[in-house]
Amino acid sequence: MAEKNYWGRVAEARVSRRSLMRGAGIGAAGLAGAALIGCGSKKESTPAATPKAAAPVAVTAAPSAKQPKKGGTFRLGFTGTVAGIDPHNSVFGGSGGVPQVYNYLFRREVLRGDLGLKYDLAKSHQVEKDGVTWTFKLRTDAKIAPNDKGVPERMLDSEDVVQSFKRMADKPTSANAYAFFAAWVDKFDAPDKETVRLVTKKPYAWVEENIGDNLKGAIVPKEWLAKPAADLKQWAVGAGPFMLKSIQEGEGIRMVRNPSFYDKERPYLDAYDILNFKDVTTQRTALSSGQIDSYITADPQEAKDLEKATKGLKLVETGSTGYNSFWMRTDVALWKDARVRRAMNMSMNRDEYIQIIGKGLGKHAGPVVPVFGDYALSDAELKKMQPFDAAEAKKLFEAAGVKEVTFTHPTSSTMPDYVNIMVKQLAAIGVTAKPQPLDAAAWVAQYFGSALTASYSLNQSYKTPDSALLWYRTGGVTGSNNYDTKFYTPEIDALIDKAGSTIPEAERKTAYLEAQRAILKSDPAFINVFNTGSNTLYYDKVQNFDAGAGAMSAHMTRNYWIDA
Amino acid sequence: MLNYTIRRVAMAGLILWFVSLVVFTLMRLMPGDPTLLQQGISATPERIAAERAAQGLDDPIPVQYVRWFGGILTLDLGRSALNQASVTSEFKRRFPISFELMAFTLTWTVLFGIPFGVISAVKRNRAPDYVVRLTAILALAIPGFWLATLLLILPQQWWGYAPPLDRARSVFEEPLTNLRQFGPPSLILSFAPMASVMRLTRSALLEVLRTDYIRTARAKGLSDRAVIMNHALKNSIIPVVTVIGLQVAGLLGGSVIIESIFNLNGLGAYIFQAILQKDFAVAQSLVLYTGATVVFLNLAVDLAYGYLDPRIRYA
Repeated sequence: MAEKNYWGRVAEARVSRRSLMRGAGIGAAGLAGAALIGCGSKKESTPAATPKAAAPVAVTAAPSAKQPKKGGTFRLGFTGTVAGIDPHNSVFGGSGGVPQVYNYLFRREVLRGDLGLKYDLAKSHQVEKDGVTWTFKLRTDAKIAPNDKGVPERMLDSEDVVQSFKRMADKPTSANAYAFFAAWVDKFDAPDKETVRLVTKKPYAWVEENIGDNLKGAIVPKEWLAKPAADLKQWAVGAGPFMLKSIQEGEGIRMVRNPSFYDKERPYLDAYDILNFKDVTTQRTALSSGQIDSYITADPQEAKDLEKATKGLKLVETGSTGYNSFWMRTDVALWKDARVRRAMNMSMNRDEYIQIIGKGLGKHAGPVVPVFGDYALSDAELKKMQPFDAAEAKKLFEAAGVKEVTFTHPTSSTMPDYVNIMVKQLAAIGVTAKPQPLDAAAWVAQYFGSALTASYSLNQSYKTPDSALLWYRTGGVTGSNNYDTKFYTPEIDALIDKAGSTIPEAERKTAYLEAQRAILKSDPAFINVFNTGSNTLYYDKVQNFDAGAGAMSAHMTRNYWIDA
Repeated sequence: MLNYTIRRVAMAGLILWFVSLVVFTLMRLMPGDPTLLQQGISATPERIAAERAAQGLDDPIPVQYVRWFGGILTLDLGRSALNQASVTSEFKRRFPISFELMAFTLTWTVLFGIPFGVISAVKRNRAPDYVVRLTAILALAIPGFWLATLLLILPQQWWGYAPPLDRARSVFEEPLTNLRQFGPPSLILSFAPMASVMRLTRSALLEVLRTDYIRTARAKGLSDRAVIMNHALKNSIIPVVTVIGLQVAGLLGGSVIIESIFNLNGLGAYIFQAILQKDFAVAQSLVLYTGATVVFLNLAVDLAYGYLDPRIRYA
């Protein structure tokens, strides 16, 4: 019999306010009385591959000493669009659901070196002495979640990994991992059902980070991969800790625990919601009123105010990989002139950006942002290599005969601040800046096709130093010459490749510093402004909360539990 | 009357066809490629090309138009380029939200706008008139988005209260929660139309109250209440109905800002996002829907004149 709605029940006079309250009480008691299942602190295997040093930034919250309870819902919020949940090329809100529904061989992130490598579908892996042959041994109990999409509920095996790799390496698919596969991966295969082999063209230091990246390395059941791309964008079927319950533009993504998940103890949560807000004020109100459990802001003052005003809210300040940049196309006469590019960099008083936009929280950014620690040039060296020198910038502009520069920028919420500061700083040295705002659609389209001559570039964020340096390497950040500055040199290409191929970490760090010095000396056509900070707020009822952004955080959610 | 209606419906069809042409053309004249926006930073030219082909954006413009317009006629509004979801399904999901918001707003508008307009006219140049007029001016002057933001933030700060912000609850499933979600935004949305209706009711009623037949009615000894309710109000309501009709048309298209602030996923937020993302199928269809709403509600208002004023004849 179909369930009656509220009005139906009212019509039958079965519902009184008191009975509703009683029902609610019973529901709450039911939740509170849910079985207490021990965590057991299951020890993860250690990787057999190249040793890694601790990450420069550790953001782990203290693990809960309490006994985990099953049940409850963890709710995150975001502003923007969901834009589908394709496992391999999602970059908008939908990408938050991908790591919960699908599996990865493992997770690893440079910035979460404190967590080490976390195995998922792989139970071990090793790299041969040749430094290029990687072998992954798979677990055999990763069962595909119940679904009504015709995907059999079988165990994932090596063929699923190979088919997923094929999609990542397929140029038209435009996978987030494409640049990695195109530049570094020679071949891959499955010798047997439990083994996957991947061979790189030469030794590469960031294989684990690429495969373990939540935006790149999702392993998808082959039957689901065989469906049209539109299906993969609209729905998700995997063997991850959660199953997709709903995905709606404007509402977000709702997921529930996967009863077939290989770890029978986890996830502790019954459900995981990623709610879609259109306005950040609404999102903040949802946090303050307890409708979402966590919120991230770049504004330190806002974070402190919220923590102070809201009971149970905790604040964790972490580093961030985010930064904005100024992009120039060097087949245009103005920007071809190295003096002009140098003058643009020198006219940039980054401290002013940090004070006004970052509210004092942020650091000067070189090609690799400072959150990567020893991989980034030190603040002192950066100030020498890309100094703020208004007088010298003025001379350079005058020598090049430049009195006016025109650049484009997207109309986003923070961009006007960047633009105003640039206009003011250039005006101070006698150069008139003419910013040309473009709506997001027009801007992305023209930026992608390198149809702009100069532009502010939004929201750069990379998980390895290597990815960030792709802006300065032939092929560009996507490996496909999109967003092309047309400014590449064989020498810098070689230095970036050399750094990526250097396995010993100390030497690799040195190699990355060398590459960056060469980049800055060449008066690059992509100059970074400043590295923003990040402030994560969360309710203390969420146990084992992990404030680290990115792949590792998405892995850690299976440990979350609600201490209600 | 029948001939008039048929002529007006035919004219409405012609107008809507013209609107469809204009909307379709303007969307394509806007700079930017929708497939780029949807594919993200790693998109390859091959991917973009494949996506364009899949969405039929490679076809000649007239072919695209015929395909889209044919779909409209069969109620197939196409698929959103952003997430491949059916626009028809999404429309069905969002329409009730915008409709309910409109219904609440209209209720407040009529419930408060007309009676206070009457009070203001009857008590002309006395304290109640001044209070109502001042309130109306305030309601028109204060931006709705500002009030909405305050209405969301302040109760939260003072009492820790906020309406559920995750998704709109159905009035049939959770009526009280639904009221918490739709009451405040609809009240704010109603302020400006309420003020317009109040001022219009006042001025129209004042004009009617000065006419000879009202003087005659009074001379016959009818009570003030009977004169106003039975004779004056009905004759002064025609311009008010026109304004309300236009308000309904506007509200049925959704309210971008108020829906966004209260996180109600109605048509306003949908069309706004579609335009920003250059999601052709969604933007075109919803703009056409808004146009159709305006055209047909205007027609309905015109037809209502005959009922409200029997002197009006449709030639």
